[in-house]
Amino acid sequence: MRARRWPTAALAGLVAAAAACADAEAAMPRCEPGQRLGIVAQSVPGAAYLPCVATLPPGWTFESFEVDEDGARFSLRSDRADRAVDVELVAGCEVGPALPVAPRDEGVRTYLAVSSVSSRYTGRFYDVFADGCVVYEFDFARGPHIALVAELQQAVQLYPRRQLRQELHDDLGITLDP
Amino acid sequence: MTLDRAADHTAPLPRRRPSGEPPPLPRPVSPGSRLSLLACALVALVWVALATQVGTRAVTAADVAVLDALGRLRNDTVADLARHVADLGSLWTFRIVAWTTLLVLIAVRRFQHLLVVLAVLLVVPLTNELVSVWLGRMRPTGVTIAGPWDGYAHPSIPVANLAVALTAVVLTLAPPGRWRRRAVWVAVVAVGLVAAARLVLAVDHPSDVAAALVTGAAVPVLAFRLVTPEEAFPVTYRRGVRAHLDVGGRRGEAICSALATQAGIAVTSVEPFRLGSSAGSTPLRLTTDDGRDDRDGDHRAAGGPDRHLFGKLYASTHLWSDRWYKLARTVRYGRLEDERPFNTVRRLVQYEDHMLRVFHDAGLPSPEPYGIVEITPDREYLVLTEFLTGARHITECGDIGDDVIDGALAAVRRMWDTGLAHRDIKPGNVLECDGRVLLIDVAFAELRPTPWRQAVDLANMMLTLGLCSTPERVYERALALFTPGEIGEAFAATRGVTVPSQLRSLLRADGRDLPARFRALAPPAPPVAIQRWSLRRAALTLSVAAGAVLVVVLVAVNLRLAGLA
Repeated sequence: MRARRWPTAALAGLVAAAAACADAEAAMPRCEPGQRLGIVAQSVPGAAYLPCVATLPPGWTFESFEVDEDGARFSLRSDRADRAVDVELVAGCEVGPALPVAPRDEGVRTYLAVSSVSSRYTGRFYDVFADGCVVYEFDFARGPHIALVAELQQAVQLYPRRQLRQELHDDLGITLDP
Repeated sequence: MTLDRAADHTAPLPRRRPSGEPPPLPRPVSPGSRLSLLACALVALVWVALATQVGTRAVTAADVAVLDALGRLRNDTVADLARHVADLGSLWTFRIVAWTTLLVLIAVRRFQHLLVVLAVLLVVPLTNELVSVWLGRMRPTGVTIAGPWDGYAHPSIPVANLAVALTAVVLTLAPPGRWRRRAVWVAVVAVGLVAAARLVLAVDHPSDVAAALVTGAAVPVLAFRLVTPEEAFPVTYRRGVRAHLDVGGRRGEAICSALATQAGIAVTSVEPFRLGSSAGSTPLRLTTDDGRDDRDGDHRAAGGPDRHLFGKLYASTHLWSDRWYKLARTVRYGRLEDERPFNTVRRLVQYEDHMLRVFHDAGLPSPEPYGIVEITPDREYLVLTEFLTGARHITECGDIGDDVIDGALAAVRRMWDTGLAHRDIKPGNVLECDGRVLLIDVAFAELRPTPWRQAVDLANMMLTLGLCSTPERVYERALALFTPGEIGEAFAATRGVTVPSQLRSLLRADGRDLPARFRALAPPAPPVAIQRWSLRRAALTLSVAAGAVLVVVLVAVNLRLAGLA
């Protein structure tokens, strides 16, 4: 009986422990062709660009990833920041009084809305493009915030949908519509 | 007293089971288990395929072809209906069904099933979650997705969750037979509808649904079959001790067959016997063939041949009880005596048979052992002894005479003299037959026990006798065999855990406070401590506590990850 029951218990424990400690980075949508980015594309059909993680700068970790028919969300955290940065792809966004800044890519309008600069540097970036928008919500302590914003923009890039569609078709025979 | 088979030409002859011949009650590998294993292997292949480009191409092409066909059936009405049906696979359905199952299993105290259900409800969703992240599969493409979705596509988490929860209900709450067949149909229809709805809505690929059905249904089926097989852990709502096994049907036939081929005894009926007095095994009365009377038992009823044998059926379920009972005793009281659990049923029955022979050889009044019969190798065995026809529990005899008191006390004296302890002296294990006292159930007996345990045996015997007599009379008779100091030591060593629960409850019902009255009669003796502290006990207690905390934390954390909280 022991011979039968302990492996089961051990398996249950291992899977439970593995799941509890599962590396969130496994789910990270990297800036490379593949289904992980494909499902981000499916979450906002038609969005011309898709947010993805190019490389995580030193000290940054990928915390969570969620995707559904309303969009995709992920968060990143730096060891020099006490709060995570939330990145969300949605079908459209209201930029309000946000100020335009240098666009991040061709066909993209980028805006910055800073809500606080006194004790903390808090606000949002918007990347607006055809049929989609990426919102970056940040809340950094003043001081390291300049470096952190630069690192964030270096970490999260925009991947062209058209390029992904072609690559998915060529590599996996998957037709990404639209 | 021996089994004289040679004298009886009608009796079956024992024979060796040839290699390759199945045992009397082979552990069946049902077609369902085989199918489940095959399905699991196929799903593993699909997962490997989906991890490669070539495999993904092939599986996706097949999936899209099916979804295309289903898509042609879809119109607004069908899509609306499918969306409503797909809602059945929501996380709340999973939570309600899963928590209800767990609570019902707690309420009916079926803890082995509870542990397996908990493990399955955690492991299956978490494994699916890990696989879905590992594969990172997209939702169907080339078709219009017409329903809500979230997360990666493979395997279909809602279908798997619903399947695992309903499979747990079917296998742990529905008794086999008509109720289980009905439950299976309900589960199949519910899961089938949700799976079909998700395919019609093109939310999942067919391979996502197929993998979910396998992980959600086949994996739990295998887990329950492996850890809590129906033969050992029956799903039943009958009152009574759960250690008792059903001895009808295949098991009853197997017992008869095993007795014929292994012991050369033709048995015509197998029936449970005094189930209430045994919590750790299934006691049986075996009726032998009419034409056969090969036991010249000393204790048979006057006027008729002894046509019965006594059997104690042990199965793997008893190891579970033995292990937890001994662990709990070690943690609560330290290593008072040998608390090593048995690793196999075979060792458990070998020990009992050995102790029966030791008692018999020592001249103690106990049933004659006839050996062990194998029902299922390493899982089920029958310990065979003579049947004490006409014997009654000592407390059923009313006011007992001096000869019975003397006989019972002499048995304890004999155990002391031969270095034995019974360790479970209680009214249920002290029988009276034609003025003779008999000790039964020597499964807990020990050779060369501690003086403490020998003293406890004496106290428990005197308490048992006191229930059928007066303490003064029992004490007076005991003085013929034991010194006042020995009796004083016996009651100084007796308290709480040392008194078997049956004796404890009868003492409570008696209301005379027999231990106090015996203590008053015997010379005072310093109390004997029953707590034994050692480094080993401290380490074991800490390990058990740490293990329990770890399990609670892991379960709590994973309940959320598995969607149960």
